[in-house]
Amino acid sequence: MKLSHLIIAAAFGFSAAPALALESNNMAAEMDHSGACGLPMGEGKVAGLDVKASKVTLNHGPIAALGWDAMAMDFKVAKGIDLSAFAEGDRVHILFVEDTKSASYRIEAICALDASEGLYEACMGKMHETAMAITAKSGKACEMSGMDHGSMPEMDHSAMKSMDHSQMPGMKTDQATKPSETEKISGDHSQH
Amino acid sequence: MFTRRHLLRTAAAGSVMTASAALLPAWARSANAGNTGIFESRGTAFDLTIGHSAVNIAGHTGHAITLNGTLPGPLIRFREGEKVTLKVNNTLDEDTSIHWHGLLVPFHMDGVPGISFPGIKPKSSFTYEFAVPQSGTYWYHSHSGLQEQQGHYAPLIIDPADADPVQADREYVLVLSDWSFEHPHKVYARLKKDAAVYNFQQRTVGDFVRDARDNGLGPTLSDRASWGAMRMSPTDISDVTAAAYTYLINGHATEDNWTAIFNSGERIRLRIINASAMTIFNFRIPGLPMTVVAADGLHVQPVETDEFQIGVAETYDVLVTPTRARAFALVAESMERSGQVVATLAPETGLVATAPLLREPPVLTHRDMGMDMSSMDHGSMAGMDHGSMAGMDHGSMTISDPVAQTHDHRMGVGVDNVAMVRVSRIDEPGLGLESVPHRALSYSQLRSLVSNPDTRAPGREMEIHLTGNMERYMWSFDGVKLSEITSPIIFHEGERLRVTLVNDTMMTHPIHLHGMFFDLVVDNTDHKPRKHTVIVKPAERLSFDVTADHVGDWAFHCHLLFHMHAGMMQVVSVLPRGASDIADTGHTADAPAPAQPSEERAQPYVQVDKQHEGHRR
Repeated sequence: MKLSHLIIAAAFGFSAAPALALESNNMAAEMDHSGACGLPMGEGKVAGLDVKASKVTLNHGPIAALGWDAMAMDFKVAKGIDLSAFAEGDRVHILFVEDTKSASYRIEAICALDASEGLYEACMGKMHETAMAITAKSGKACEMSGMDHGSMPEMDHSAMKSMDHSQMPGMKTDQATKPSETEKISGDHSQH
Repeated sequence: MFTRRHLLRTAAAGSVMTASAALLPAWARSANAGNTGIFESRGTAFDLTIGHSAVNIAGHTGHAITLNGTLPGPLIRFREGEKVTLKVNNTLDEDTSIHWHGLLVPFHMDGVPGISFPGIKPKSSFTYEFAVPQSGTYWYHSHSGLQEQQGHYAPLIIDPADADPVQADREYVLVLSDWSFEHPHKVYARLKKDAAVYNFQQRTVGDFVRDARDNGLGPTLSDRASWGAMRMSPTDISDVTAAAYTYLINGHATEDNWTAIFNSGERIRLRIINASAMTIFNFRIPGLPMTVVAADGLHVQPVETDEFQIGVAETYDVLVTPTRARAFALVAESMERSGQVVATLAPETGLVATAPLLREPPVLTHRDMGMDMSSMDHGSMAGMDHGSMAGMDHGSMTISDPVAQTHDHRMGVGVDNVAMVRVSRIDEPGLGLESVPHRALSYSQLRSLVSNPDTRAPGREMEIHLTGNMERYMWSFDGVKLSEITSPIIFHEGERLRVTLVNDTMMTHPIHLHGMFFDLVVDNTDHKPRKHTVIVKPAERLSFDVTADHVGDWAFHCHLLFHMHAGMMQVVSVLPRGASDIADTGHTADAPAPAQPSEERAQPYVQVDKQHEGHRR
């Protein structure tokens, strides 16, 4: 757990974005990154779940990456997530992905915070892999040192947020995340 | 203590299944029928009666062949080293037998008709007697006809003579099985006519559209074209699916909600046995990690995982420690994901765990076809894989295929240095589990708890190919089915040799060797996991080292019942010392290709019992 956090923190540290570094220190609890590869993450508590409909009701904390306050919301979960592993009252960590069809966010990965050490580590590892796979699919690279990006384009993105996608032909924009006020990145994107 | 009156009263108040659950042996009952996971009954003398029974499966009545009237049969439990006597009474009109799966019994007690003994004739008895130097979770089942599919299976536990290294507060046996309301001979007849008859997960227009959207039209078209040219389906993973089967845990279907109870914080040992005929299961408990402590009855160094694939006839012992007082689902999903069976692990009876949705069916790739060019080492693979691919394209994998004789790896002393060929898949989890969002067990994670008894390097290597013609549902080893073999596979007593299984088919086969444990070559360790049954994935090359110290004729076969029935079986003869003048001509690199079977051929080596053929029920 700690190693992966170090790697992510280091990756963000490489960016020319002091705002981001501040962001990652701001997060409460053990989870101290606002996103993986630019996809928003958050924490919450399961208030209800419907396995058949693949839906979960979450009491989530504030998610600055999306500009959300703490609230209770229903989310659809991605295919492949086994909701029967969770129960009401579980504290969970979530990876969100924008669902263009419904103009909302769906849960792409979810990990129980109170699970046993091994299960938690494995789950968080898979969550980061999922985040990397999604950003790779949409053509962006996810700069995280120490991770193998064999198939990813050799682009150095200092941060995935607040990119001007109109400058990038051929890239799907449905993975864009909404930047928050505190994250104006002053990175140089002219290489694209 | 539950009295009969109490059981009948609860049966009347509860569902239909509760009534018949009360008739199940104690180990198989649900928690609401009194099973609290603590049972220690052991014995040395057992009486088993094999007969026909009507059984209630998920609300429907079926016709089963049972041991002592129940499906599954009674638990046999005894202590390591003790002599046990098992008197088996056959009340059927056909031969039967009982094979003690995984037990190192004297070969005439092994229970394989045609190889170890003539079978138990109708309306007669046979007494098995043996004392075995092993402990762990095993099972026993019929080796006659297709009786194993009809309910003739049950668990067997041997307690260690010394203290058990695995300590638990409760233990439950989970027998996973598949039940068919169709008579197994009917199922087999269907498969012979159309091998994909039970595959209702074929790819359709919807899949084409989705793939075209995800991967592009060009790649999707060429993918469909390549599979089409081979007349094969990438969704052909299991021959018999949930279209024919009702999956069971301890004889209970999902709607019967078999329940195991626990108190929070307790350590529970689950002895999981795959007693099915044709189904490889993926077992998991969503939300609860499992620590694997034994595989195939023998202890392994504990490894924590979230899911494992259990092949037919394999057993796994796992420990779980649920700390939260909620209902967990014990999920056994079939490998091709056409169905699953769910039981409940809960702090009290009356709870029903939330069953997960069935996951997306896995799809075979070119890697499974043995055509994964990117990872092939062309220097060493040239002779083999291309030969097998040519054979597959022609739709026939039988004797004309020269694959078995064109291996080009060294055989002889010094096989220590044979590198793992790239098509080794031992560190992959089971088919379909590569992409699950949690940990999945692979064989390469297993290490024997104690050092391997024999760590000599193998003196010779033998390669056996798993072959078949899927279209015509013909299965064999090295292209020769059991009724046409001319000689057995010969081991010499005391020798240590390496057997390499090469799966030339696109199906996953759980291969079982009677009479001995083999050491699975996961790497150069002296703690290789010892097993009696191993899953060989499509296009996999897998090796095990075995010490032939148990003299006798031993069956060696694929444990998918219908594959074995089609001929995927051989005999391993462990010849006693002094019989070394009988050379093994069938499996050396310079041996001639096996003779084509002709109309007039020599008396077959094995007298295959044809008594049961022709049944139409």
